[in-house]
Amino acid sequence: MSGFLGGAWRRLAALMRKEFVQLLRDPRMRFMLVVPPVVQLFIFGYAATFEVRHADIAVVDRDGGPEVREVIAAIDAAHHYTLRFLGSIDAASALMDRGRIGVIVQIPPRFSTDRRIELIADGSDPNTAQLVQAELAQVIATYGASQAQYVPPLTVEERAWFNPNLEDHWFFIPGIMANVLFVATMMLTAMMVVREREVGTLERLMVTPVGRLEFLVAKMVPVACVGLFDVGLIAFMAVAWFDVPLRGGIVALALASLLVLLSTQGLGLLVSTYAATQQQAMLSSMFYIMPMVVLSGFAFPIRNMPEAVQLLTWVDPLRYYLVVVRDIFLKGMGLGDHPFEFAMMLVLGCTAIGASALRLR
Amino acid sequence: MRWSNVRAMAIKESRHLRRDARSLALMFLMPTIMLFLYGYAIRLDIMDAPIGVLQESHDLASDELVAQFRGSPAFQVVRNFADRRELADSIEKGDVWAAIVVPRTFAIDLARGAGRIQLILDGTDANSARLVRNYVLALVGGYAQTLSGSPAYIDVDARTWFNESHESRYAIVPGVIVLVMSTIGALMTALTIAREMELGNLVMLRTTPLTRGEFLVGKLLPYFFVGMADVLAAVAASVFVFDIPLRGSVGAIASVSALFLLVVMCQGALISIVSGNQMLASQLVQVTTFLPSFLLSGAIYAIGNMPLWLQDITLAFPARYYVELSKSIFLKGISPLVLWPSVAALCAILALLAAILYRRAARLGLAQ
Repeated sequence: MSGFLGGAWRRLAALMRKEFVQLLRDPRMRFMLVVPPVVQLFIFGYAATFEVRHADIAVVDRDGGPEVREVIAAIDAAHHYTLRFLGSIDAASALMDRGRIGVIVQIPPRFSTDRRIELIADGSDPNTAQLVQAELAQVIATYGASQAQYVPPLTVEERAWFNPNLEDHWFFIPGIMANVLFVATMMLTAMMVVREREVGTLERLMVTPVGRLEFLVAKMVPVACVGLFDVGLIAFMAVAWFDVPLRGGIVALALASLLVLLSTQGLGLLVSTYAATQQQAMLSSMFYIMPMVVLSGFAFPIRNMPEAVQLLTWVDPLRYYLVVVRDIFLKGMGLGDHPFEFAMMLVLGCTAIGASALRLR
Repeated sequence: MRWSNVRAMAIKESRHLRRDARSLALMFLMPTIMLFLYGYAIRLDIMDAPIGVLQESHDLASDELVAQFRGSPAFQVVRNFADRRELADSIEKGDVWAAIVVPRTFAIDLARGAGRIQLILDGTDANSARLVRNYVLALVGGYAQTLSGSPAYIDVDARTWFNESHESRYAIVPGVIVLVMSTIGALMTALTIAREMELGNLVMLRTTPLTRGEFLVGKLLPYFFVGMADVLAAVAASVFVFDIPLRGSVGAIASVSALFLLVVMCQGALISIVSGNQMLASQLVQVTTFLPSFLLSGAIYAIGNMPLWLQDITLAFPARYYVELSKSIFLKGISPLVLWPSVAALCAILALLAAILYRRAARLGLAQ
């Protein structure tokens, strides 16, 4: 009996070694396992921001009085705008058509009596439009208050917890971790299995004593290692380079990652059970990945989605992973704080693996 | 280049495509699902943001202030906290995005003209926090104005062109078309040549009089037609399903899309030849095509908000020009000729890629 088990272990070890070698042999493939996560992290960390740091604004002053100059000086003093002074609204709108300016500040004639200012924003980027309009309105209101010696009887004292400076990348970086882990592990699992079939080596494996389970475990373990490595790499870069606080424990992070790997690799296996070619495997993986990433709430809050779509997010393992990872990073939560999320990841993972095991038979 | 050879290659490739009904179905299903998700599921603005209120005293002034929040469509007061502990718990769990604290002395302070309330935001989702803060400040500012009875010194009349109601999907859906195209265009072409190399069919092709030019054109032609059908279907869905106004002409969007599709297909073919195996090719496409078209194109995140060095990097990615063109054609209704620099940039990238592709294709070893 022990001899039989020993044989199984030896086979498994040999097979796993073969998979590791195959995965890491090609230097370009090694490159692809390390560089894309880092590149993604950097691009996401810097590109994914809704915060308006700078805006190009056209000023059309049709009044020309001295007071207008004061208002404009107040806008200019809010340092992150570049102002361009234009003679007519037509010139300004031509610039907006070309996307060269985001907002037009128009001061109609007779400003000194009407005291009216028009703010026209480019709605093809509604987020920036809204934020700049709100900011400009605030600047103008502050100027107006000081002119009219108006002291508002009511003020708001604001404070943001967990992310006091409202840094966008503190929010996005845990999302990238989920994204990279999902995309890399699901696709690799699917393609590694399908490749054996497409190239014909699966038939050769069938004549060896390797069992189905051994075959799958040997395929899954190396990919899981790659996934965990990527998680560690991103967590390290997030803390070391982007100064994202890692307030919770690494154990909780590792456990959550292992649990979500059940789902991502399970889905990868599921795809591999019906994909005949790697092209199909790739396309089918994308077919799962895209909606799951969008529905996970990695960039767009789930609460803002329509009810029916919110229901769909319940079967998205990434949704739970994201909640856990964000809370570990920013809120310092640990293993015990998210029993529901952990349970859901386990359930979804087992379902995915179970479904693919059923189909493999 | 002999047309008969190109045709033979194209026919062979389209048979491949036709026989692989599953891939073909996915190529049409995926854009539909992406459009649906981005068109319906994503809202960047805020409605009904869940907030909680800690009202330390139940006097008339506090009640009236809280009523302002209850009446606003931007917020939904989902919690009334009894104490600070409960408030902290609720924010930590993510039940509310923000909490308003109306202190015990609020009524007295307000009567003295120094009312003060506290706003505590869950900063985890920085953008939502920023939007909630702006709404709270605007609401409280307006309320303060009515309380003091002094009208604003300057009237601000805020308007938004091209998208009066700030619909996120107006801006996002035209951008999503770029995602559809880079996925379908680059991914499919990237895998197709790598597959011939991996399976060894290329060796057989070497014995035929087919040249690399004929091989490439014949190989890509069917995918070009599938890609164009995809784009036009996506445009039609944007207009008829998502009510996105197409203010420019169909011809303009079709010709710009064709140009961009050629660019991504060349990119895909190049990746295919360089990598020579499908697994690597698929990873390379992710990094060089899909990711930039999602992040660096302006489809979702405005390029103007990025750091300057990154804005310069976006200039190298074709997706950026296409997003600019498609948004302008859809929402602003302007002709691509006005945005000629973007069209010229796409043409230049296409010429460059095609030249590199042709040179690199020499390694396929096909007939001269």
